[in-house]
Amino acid sequence: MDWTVFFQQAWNGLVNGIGYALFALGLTLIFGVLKVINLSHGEFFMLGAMVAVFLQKLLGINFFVALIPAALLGGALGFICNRVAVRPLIKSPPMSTILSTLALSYILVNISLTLWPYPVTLKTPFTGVINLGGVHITEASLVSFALGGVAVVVLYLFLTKMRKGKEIGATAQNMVGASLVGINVKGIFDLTFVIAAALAAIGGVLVAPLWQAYSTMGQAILLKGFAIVVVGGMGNVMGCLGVAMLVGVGEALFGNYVSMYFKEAALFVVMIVVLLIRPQGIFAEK
Amino acid sequence: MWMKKHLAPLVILAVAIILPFIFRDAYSRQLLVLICVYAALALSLDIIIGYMGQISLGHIAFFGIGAYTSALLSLKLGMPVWLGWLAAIVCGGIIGYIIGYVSLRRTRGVSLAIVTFGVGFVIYLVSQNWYQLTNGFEGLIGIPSPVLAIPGLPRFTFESSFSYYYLVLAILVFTVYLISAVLRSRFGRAVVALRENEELASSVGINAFNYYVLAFTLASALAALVGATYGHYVRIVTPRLLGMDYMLMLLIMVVVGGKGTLAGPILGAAIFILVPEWLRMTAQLRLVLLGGIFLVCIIFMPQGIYPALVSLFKRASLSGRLWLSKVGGGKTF
Amino acid sequence: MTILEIEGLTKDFGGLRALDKVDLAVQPGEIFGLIGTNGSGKTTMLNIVTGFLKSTEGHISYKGELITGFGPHQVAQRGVARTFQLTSLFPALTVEENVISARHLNSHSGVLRAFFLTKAYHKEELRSRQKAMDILKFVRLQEKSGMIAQNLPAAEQRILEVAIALAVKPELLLLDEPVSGMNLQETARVMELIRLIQQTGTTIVIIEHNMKVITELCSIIAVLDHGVKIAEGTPEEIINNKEVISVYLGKRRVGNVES
Repeated sequence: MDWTVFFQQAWNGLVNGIGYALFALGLTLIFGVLKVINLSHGEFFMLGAMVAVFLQKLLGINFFVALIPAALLGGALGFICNRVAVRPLIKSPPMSTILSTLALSYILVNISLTLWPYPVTLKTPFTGVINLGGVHITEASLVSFALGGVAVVVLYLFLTKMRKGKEIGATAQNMVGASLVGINVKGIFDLTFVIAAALAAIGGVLVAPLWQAYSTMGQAILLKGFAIVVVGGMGNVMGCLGVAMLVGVGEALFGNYVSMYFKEAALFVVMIVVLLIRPQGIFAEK
Repeated sequence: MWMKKHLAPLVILAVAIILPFIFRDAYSRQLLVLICVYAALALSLDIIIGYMGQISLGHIAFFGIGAYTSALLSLKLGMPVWLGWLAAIVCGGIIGYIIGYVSLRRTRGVSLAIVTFGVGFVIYLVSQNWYQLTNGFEGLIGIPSPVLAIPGLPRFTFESSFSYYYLVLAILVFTVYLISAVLRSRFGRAVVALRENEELASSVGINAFNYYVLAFTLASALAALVGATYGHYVRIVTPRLLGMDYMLMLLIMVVVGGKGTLAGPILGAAIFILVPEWLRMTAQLRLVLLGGIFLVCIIFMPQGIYPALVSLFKRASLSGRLWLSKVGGGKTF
Repeated sequence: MTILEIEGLTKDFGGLRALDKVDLAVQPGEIFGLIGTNGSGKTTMLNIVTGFLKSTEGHISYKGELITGFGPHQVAQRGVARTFQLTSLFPALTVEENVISARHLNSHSGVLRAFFLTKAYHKEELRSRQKAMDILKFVRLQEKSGMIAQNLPAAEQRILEVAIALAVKPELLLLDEPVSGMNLQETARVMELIRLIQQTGTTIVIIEHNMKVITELCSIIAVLDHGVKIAEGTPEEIINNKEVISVYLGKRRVGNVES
């Protein structure tokens, strides 16, 4: 057994996993708090990446600095999405928000395709490669992984320790109860969307140097993000994180050892099986 | 009497029949064929969305299954196209039954939407990667056109858009009639009752699971038939047919057109095939505008365009009559 | 022979015991009352009998046949119908369509016949409409047959619920709080309806809080408290039962119409 290959793939998987995690965490937060399936979430991810590249070309800013406008843009997009596509339909059946966020996604993808029809790369100042016993770990991937990890930890601390974060958790558990104890539920909806979208945008910037950035990357990750959220449990933050990392690593290993072509299919088969057997997700308590 | 009651549909049918004589260029006729195909497909999805009250995000897979089944049988085994279509119906029905049986047992609503999406996506991936069967990305080419060979009559091949239009129009009419027949029957009423109130329906003896599975199977078999007719028209079948973008367009046609009505999905198909053609911009900007229209429709006309038009018409005729009665000195119509 | 026999019925929801070894027997043709404070397990028991919940322990027999574990549609097929605590209709359909849909078990309009619009289909449709109107006439809703169900006034919605249950042609009818939210006039109308239903030979079980209705209609009453049957007997016996009185004191006085 060639352990070098194994660890190489595992590392690639971990890095991908952090990207998936930042994306899926936002998706699951939106579902947990607003009970909405946000089909435009992929575009937050994609636009974070695309705008970072654009600003880099335009202003020559570096990788780190690009994170800030990307996060801000993401947050703004999330806010707009909430106000335009979700809020007006809060009293309608769930199908309506699925469709409205879908419509928004159409709009965003095609705006992006018009502006940036070709894949682009985000340059980072990290070009070195660390060699750990045959396993090649690029500095760029290490930095992305570390920053992603920081973002996840910050999110965790926010949700558990800070007041607004706890209010988010309370609203997710019981909307009516939360408003009864004085939580501004509408404000929490805005906040959740902004945070989720910003996270996705940051995720997009972090993986852009590794994957390349292109206008339809949002759709590919949306599908995976969905499967991750379903398996981890809608609204279940820790479950989502765990599954995202598992998917990242599992996908890489599966692709290497079993079949390149069916690794995506495998993820969805798992998702279907989980939905049929344990619809609340693997890590849910119920 | 029967004529009067069905006047509107008969007039529309008459217009539909003469349309290819009004629009004589190949491009317009092609659009007409596409509209009929997608209208029938949208109607089949509406069985699930409008009458069952559920969401299937994998419905397009049956369109593809039907197309591939018929294409494969006529290409590889030399079967006559009509038999291929029959096989497509059977194949779509069986696979629809299996998927329905397994999914509807445990999932409804949002989880069902996700499961059907997953299944549809996996089938899409299979069509892309199982190249021994489906020829992968390139798909199947050179699919034969349907041939009408009745002894004693001249042999006729449905190759042109003109002739094919009447074929798919017939399928569309059949679909409309079939759905209205189902709605008139015990089966259809049971499904509608389940949609309105599943608990109550069960309490009056309706076996929810059985009827859901049956309706799902019917929808799948119909979609497969439509897929088969499409395949023998364009004569190329690729995995793109089963792609998510077509699924979403289909969904839009049903929901924005007006779910649960017979005219809604047809109207939706017409609008979402014709409007992009009329908006002569680059492909992307066109889609942005389409997305915008879609968004506006969902927010302001959640029941769909057709029901919105109907209620607008009713209100207009009501106020028209009121106005007329005032003008006519108090006599009401 | 008893028409409905419940033996040792127990239901646990996690740590909460909603029903504890309840025994009940209902005789054919009688009107049986089931009372108890909120949360005493009445509706839970009804849900188990009609197949919407599974019991943790215990058996249910209907006309001698074991129906424990049957699903709702199977229970209905055997001739048991029910109404729901919260008004349950087919909201977007008309009153007439509600009843026609509810006649599912007795309808024969197959798809093939509908497709070819055969004579048999038309005959069956006519018969269906006729029978539905008969039921609506029985409950005196026939004039509103074309109205959309959700637009009916609340009390008439409850009556439509009864019509829907009658469409099943039940031998056993279980009513869950049939007069809740009704004024005196509406209550009297429903009471009259229940009497008429009994006269057709249908056995009726009523869950109610309204003591006037229960004592005037029922020949036997059972009392549940926290999942346990604490008393069973004639209305007179129940009104004077010390345990029943003590359970109800502090919530409402036994013998008065619920306020």
